[in-house]
Amino acid sequence: MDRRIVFALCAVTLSSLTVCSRQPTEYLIGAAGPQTVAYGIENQHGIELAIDEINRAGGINGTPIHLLTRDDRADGSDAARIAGEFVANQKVIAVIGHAGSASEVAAAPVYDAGHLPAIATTASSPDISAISPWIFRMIASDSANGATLARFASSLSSELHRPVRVSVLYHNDAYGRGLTDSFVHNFTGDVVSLDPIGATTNLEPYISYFKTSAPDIVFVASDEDLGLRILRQARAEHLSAMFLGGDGWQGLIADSVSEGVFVGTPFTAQSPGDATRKFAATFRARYGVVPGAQAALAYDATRLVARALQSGATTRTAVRDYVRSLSRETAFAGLSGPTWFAGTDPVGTTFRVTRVHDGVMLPVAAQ
Amino acid sequence: MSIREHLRLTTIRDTLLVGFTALVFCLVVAGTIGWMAVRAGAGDVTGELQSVLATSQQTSDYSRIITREIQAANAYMTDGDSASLREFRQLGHQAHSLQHKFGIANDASPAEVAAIAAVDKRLSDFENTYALAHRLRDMGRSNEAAVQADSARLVVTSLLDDLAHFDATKAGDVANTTSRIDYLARWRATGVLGAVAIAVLLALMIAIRTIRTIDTPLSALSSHARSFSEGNLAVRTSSAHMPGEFATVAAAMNHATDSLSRVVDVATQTADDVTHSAGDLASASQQISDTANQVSEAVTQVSAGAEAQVQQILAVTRSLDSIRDGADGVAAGAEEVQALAASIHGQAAGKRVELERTLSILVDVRTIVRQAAEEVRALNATVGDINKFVVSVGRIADQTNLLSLNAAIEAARAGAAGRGFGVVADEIRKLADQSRAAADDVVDLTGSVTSRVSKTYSTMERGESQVGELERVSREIDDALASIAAAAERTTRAADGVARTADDNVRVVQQATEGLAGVARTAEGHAATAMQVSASTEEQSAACEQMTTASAQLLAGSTHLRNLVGELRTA
Repeated sequence: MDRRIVFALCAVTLSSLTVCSRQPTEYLIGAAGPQTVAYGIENQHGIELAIDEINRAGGINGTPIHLLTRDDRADGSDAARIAGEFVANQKVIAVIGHAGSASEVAAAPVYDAGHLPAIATTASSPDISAISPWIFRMIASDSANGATLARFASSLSSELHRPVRVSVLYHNDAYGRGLTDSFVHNFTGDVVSLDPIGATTNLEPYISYFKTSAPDIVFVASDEDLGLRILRQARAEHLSAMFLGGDGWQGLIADSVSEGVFVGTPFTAQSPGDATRKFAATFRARYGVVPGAQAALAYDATRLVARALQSGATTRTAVRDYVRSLSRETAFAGLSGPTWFAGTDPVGTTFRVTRVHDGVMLPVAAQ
Repeated sequence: MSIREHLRLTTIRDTLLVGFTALVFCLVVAGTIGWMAVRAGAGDVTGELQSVLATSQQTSDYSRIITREIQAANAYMTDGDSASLREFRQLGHQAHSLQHKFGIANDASPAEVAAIAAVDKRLSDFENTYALAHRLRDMGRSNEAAVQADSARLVVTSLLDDLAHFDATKAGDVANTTSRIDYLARWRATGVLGAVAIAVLLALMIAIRTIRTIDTPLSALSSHARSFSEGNLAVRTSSAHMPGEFATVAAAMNHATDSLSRVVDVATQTADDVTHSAGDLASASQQISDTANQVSEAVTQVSAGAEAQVQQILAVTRSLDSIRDGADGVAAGAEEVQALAASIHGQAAGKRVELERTLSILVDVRTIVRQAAEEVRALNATVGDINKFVVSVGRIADQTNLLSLNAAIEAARAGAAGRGFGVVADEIRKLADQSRAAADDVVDLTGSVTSRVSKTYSTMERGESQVGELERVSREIDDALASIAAAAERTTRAADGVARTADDNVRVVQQATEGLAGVARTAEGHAATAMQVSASTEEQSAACEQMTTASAQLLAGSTHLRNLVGELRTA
């Protein structure tokens, strides 16, 4: 017999048992991301802030939500293993994660087989689009974001009065490759160089190379740690080129080396709106930093799951069905805009290029 | 309560039906299990083989791409050809895409996914290291580039190890699946064997039970049949503890024996009765035969009478036919009259039209003549005026003549001096004479004109009166023609009535003829029926004679039957 039918029978039995018995004494939500790198920490802060706010307001009809946090170290094999652990733990009703594309791509088949809904935060790889009916994400696909960044880079030709020359450095993982593919495909200037890098790669030769090849823009598709290393190396060698990063660079804006850098993001605390202002103020009061998109999307994902539970969902399938049922009319009011889903990907959210100034991201007017 | 009673298996049919249904069910179950086992086994094996084939194909593609990528990376290190660098990037892209396909394959286990992720991570390391070596080489930092390339080769070794590990994981999965299929196959085989064994056991039980159920009642029934065949009608068989079908047979045999006993009793009595009745029957049939012969003769006479009746009817029919022919003649005559009257009517109408035209012309003529008479009368008046004028001219001429005479006298008095004047006076006298003569001529002329006009006028008046007379006569003719046309129309209508009456007569005669033909046919039928009755009566007479013979035979037969029945024992 099909495993799916067996599972459906089990699900029906479980749900009927749940209905017969009293409400659960607690809701358990899995949280997965790298717990030792800045963007992962910010991600975790966003989740925790949301959970605290919900529990302080009385939880889900009086029942608190608890978190089961795991460190996937942004590593595919760790992510797959952690996903297996979440699936096996029947108390886990949904997962907020993973934070990175590499982790999400590796973990998705496990969630799919185990029928556990997982809402990724900033995992933006095009590979994730429609990967499974159990996977959702709060950020748009890199194929959309990469196109936005490429349009921005290409538009600088109007100031230079010639085609823009760009050098690309990309983290050689699912995120870096996906964003770079989309960027290169949509960019209309000259690609001077295109090189893969890793967490331990010696960056000095690349910066030296850029000093001789002199590109107008260096586009970096990486997380913030790698981004910080590149920017520090560039400042140390007085490289004059402009830097452009994707949403993976959210967390490095607090560092002074990021002054003047261009960053694409689905959220900036400098956007107008009461919800954004309140969230930014609460987050800053609690963690001492301005929240980036990482925190905002993690905060949104957590509140979305809470809303599903609030609607009466008490099973993994019910949570999944609730998220899937959202539409333009019943959209979830997220910090990145009204959110509902077309399959895996969000509809209605925005992605824009900002420039870092004094540790905050200011929206760039002309793109 | 035994199983048999519990299941209500009181007949062999039910026992066999239930038994064989169970047997067939067991065999179908066994067959289905076997078929499913074979199918599932084949499906599992095929699926597994395809999966293994696809995986090994992908693995070999993956390994081949990585090998070529390594070669391209090395080629760029030695010759710096940008084509090699491009190939290095493209192959890297392909290798990662393939890894991605592995990663999202639905049948991948977590262990496999983890193994593939590890391979991919190692592949990224290798690409990063070589990319750095390439940039160092581009900048002419050959020593550093060589160091990087060496460390990249170390990564390649680890990468190949990881690939091998991944293959081993896949192989382990295949082994697991194979042993699972093997276990399933054994389990299914056991199931099939069990079902077959149950079926055989059931068949055996049914066979033994059926034989035992049939044997005992069959012996009882055969001994009953033997006694029965020997003519002993006193034997009975008990149907208790027998299966339904045998109980039915036993009851039927008992019933048959009872019935037969009763039949024997009745037959004996009937045979006696029949002997008596047969004698009575023979004499009765002789009487019937005689009566039938008399009836036959009477009927023959009836038949002859009917023939005569037919002949008379035919004669009447012929007369009616001639009447009908006469009526036809009348109808034809009436039609001719009708046609003639119509033609007269038509001609009278035509003449009336012509007469009408003539009349109108006559009226016109009368009018013209009247106008002309008026004109002539007017002319006569004018002639009167002319006469008056001419009388005054005559008077002037007379005075002039007198004057000229006076002048001539005066001239003569004057002598020579008046001679010339006398000539003129003479001339004037001559002129007066001429005027007088001319006036007299005119009077004569007008007199003649007046007399002619008067004559013409009287002629015209006579003509007008004649035209009036003509008109009157024409109108009388027209009236006569109108009355002729009306008479012709009445004649037509009368002729039409005669024709219709004649037709009706013909129809009535026709119906009478047909009625008589029917009567004749009926009379013929009666004659034929009488003939048939006569024949039947003769046949009846013959049958009565046969009956008499049969009664004699019946008498002999019943005597024989009585003797036979006497031999059976009923008690």
